[in-house]
Amino acid sequence: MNMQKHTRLLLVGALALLAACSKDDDGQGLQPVSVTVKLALDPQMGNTAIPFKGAVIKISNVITGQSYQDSLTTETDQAAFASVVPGSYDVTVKLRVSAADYEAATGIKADGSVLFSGAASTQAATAPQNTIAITLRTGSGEGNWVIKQVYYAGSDTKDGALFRDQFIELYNNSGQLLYADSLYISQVEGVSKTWENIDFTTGIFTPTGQWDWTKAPGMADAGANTDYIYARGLFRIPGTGTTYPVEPGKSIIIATTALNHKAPYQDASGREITVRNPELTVDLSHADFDVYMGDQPGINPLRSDLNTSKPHLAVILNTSRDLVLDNPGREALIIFRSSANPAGWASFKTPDNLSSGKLKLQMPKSDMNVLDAMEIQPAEQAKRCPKRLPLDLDAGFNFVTDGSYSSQALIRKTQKVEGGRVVLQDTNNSSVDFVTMKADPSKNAFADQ
Amino acid sequence: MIKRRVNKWMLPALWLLLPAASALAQSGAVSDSVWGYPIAQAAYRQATRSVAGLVSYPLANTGIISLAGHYEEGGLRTGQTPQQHRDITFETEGVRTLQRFRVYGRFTYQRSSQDSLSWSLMGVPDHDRPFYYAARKAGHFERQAYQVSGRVAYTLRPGRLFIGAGATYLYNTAYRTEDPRPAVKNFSLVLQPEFAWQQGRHVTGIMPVWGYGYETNGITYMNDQYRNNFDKYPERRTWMMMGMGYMQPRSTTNQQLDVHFHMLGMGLHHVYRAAQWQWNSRLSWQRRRDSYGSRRDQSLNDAEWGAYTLNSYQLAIHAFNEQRRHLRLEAAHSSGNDRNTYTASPLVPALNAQNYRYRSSSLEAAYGLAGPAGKALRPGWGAALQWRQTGRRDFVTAHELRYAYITPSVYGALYSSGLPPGNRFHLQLQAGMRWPVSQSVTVLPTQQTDFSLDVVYHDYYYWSAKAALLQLDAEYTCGSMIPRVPAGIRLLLGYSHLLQEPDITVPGVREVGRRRVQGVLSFHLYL
Repeated sequence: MNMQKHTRLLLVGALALLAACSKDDDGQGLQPVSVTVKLALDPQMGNTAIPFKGAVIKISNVITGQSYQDSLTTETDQAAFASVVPGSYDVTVKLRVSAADYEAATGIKADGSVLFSGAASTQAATAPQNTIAITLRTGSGEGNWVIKQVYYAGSDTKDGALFRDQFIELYNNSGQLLYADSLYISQVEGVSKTWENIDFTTGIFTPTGQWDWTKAPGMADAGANTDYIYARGLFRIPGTGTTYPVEPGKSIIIATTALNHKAPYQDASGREITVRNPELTVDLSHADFDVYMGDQPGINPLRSDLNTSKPHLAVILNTSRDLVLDNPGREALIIFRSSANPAGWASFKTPDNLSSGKLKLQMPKSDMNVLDAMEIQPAEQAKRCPKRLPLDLDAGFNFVTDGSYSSQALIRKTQKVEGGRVVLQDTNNSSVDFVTMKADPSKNAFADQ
Repeated sequence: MIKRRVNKWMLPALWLLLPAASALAQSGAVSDSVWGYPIAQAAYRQATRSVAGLVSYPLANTGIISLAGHYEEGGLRTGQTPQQHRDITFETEGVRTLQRFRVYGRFTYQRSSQDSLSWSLMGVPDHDRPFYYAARKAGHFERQAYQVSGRVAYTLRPGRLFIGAGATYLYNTAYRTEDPRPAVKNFSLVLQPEFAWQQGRHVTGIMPVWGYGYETNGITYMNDQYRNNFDKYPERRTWMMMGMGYMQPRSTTNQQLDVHFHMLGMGLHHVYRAAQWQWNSRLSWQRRRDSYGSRRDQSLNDAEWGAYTLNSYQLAIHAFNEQRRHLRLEAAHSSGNDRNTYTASPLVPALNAQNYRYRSSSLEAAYGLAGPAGKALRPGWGAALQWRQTGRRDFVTAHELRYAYITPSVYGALYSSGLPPGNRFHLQLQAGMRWPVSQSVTVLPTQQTDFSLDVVYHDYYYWSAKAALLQLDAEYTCGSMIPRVPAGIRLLLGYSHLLQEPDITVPGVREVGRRRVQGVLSFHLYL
């Protein structure tokens, strides 16, 4: 082969290479999509024509965390988000309807604006055009007890008080004097595994990822998943019925241990407990109640669980060694009243039937007058677990922005101020009702609207 | 585990180094002329790439040991290039012939540090791939890399048949001293068995390629305030990049990125020896498939996030006329496509579709000429022209960056030998220019992020700018410093200067710096 042939062969090779290069540019991937959020009122409200103008609609991509917000400025029932990343979205909607508009639509007089909210989780939006329907509901009103503040995150592990300083603040959101006596506070049982760690093949989970209680050992009730709420902790405020009055717009604080956690103290073993940075924790010496497990049979309480001079909550059930809120945020709380005797309620182990598993209390919904409920989830997306509360109790969830040991609490937003009394927002949707702030047990902490 | 692997590979590495060491011990006949002339060096590089080239290489024994320090600094850089880079590199390589065996071996150890590097938490930087960790916070990197490569050629029938194999082993570690702090380990092994045959003046080799490697990247934080990856400290957030715009915050504090790749390929090598010219040609194809995910305690629970397939085609033709002329023609094309299968939970369906596309093509032609041998002072000159086009597209966020440029360059050189006897000197001055041909950028306004500003837009402006390139290469070799072992010192200085500042119209985009300088000072022993 001479030089010419050699060169020719190489040129053919080069041409073949370039030809191969030109062919592989055809592939098309996904494209940004549009999402339309369509609003409708809960059918239970009847055929009313509530104006949606002013509704604030927020969609958040579950994977990227990117969120988009829009407000309806015209009389329409939908908002369109163009050119968003395809994927799954969490949607929250908040609508404040003036008293006049509300009365015009329903014929019902309201003494202030009425809040509606709606939410939906992990809604798929991968088609070029996607529509997500959201049902709006009003809250439970402003006439009763609400959970005002939950400090579950705890404070710094080295410089703070760990999770010894947790507390719950309950608030009289009504215009009348209320009595805290016999109010129940429950920590709701639920699956604490992250989604990716749930093995659906075991058959002990419902499609929502929660326990399938019909598979619990000894369970014979076909309505086990629908007719009950299961508690891993249930406490009752003591009193005779009129022992603990709470004025309208006032609070009570329930502490894990009612101590000033900023100052040194001796724990149950006599060891002195100090914190390096008192600013990180809270003074709970003015709390109204706390939980003491030292007098519970068969319980080895935490060393920080002291028998303070404050009234202790009655412990109906507690699977922990103190009132311990899950500080990563896998928690749901409800407050309710009941005329039934909890001693008559059944108890079951969770369907995974672990040998170490403790009994959970099966609370019949028919026996409970639920006053308020809120769900908390971990701040980190990947650590979130299946929702524990049904949508009618809490359509969403919330979390403190800096996560565990951040000294932050969730506090309910203010809806309005009437004659000096702060009325808190309660739309039965924690996603829109709560915000993050530094934990403050002074009872004077309020979040903006 | 890693340590065992390193040790396991140290023995073959030492074996591959044997030619260089042995050559040192042999007679005083050295072949330092290979290293003194760029044209001869290029011929050596081509020869060692294949068995066909190795058995056709006219020199039986040659080798070099070098220690080099490298410094580079300047703002004329892309968004994922450090402001400053330093490294020190120890390298030894050589060819040795033992009867029917011809062996090539190379060992490189490099310790490097980079400063002000952002949007890159990778071990071996490769920002053209889709999945990697990144943070906006610029930081200081420390890296160490060991690379051992070699090739053995055995003559089955003299003048007729040859067999052999090549191998390249890489082990790299990297860490950063600011939060977030990646701890990265890379390992790769590429094997290239080859069968070659000779017909007259032609030697042709066919070379399958197989490779495997992995990268593990775990991120830690010293400051507890940053470790939860919340928006409160946006610069400190660790992002998992999934293309060129599609990104998500690293989902858990212990999430680790594991990359495994497999490589397959085929190469056709051809050497033609005419009376004065030798032609080395190579046509190759490689397919590399990366799989991205996170390893768990049990393999059943391993998370698979995506895959990326990169096909690379290359055609190279080199012609050498002894040490006087060198003609180089090269064409390359790379085509990468991903498939994103990331899901956060069973309730969140994966995209299960392509999100990222990468295309790159280049053509390069170069010609170099040196004066006739035998003279004490030889002039030389050369010219090169390179065209390169790159396109990257992120589908779901509608980010796209395309650019093409040409780089013409010329050089003039002066080679001196025997002044005084046994000594050698060469000086080369090169001037060139990066001339943008076309460029475009698309960023969907609803999807614009800090990454879009710092990297996508910034790189668009970088590649839109004209830049002048100057390079000085000087080397002095002394035959009398160490008896029978020539020693040399080399200085390479490079300077890039922005000729025309881009008109940055997008607010928030960092300006492209005006200049960048680099210098390499190295000391060599020729074996």
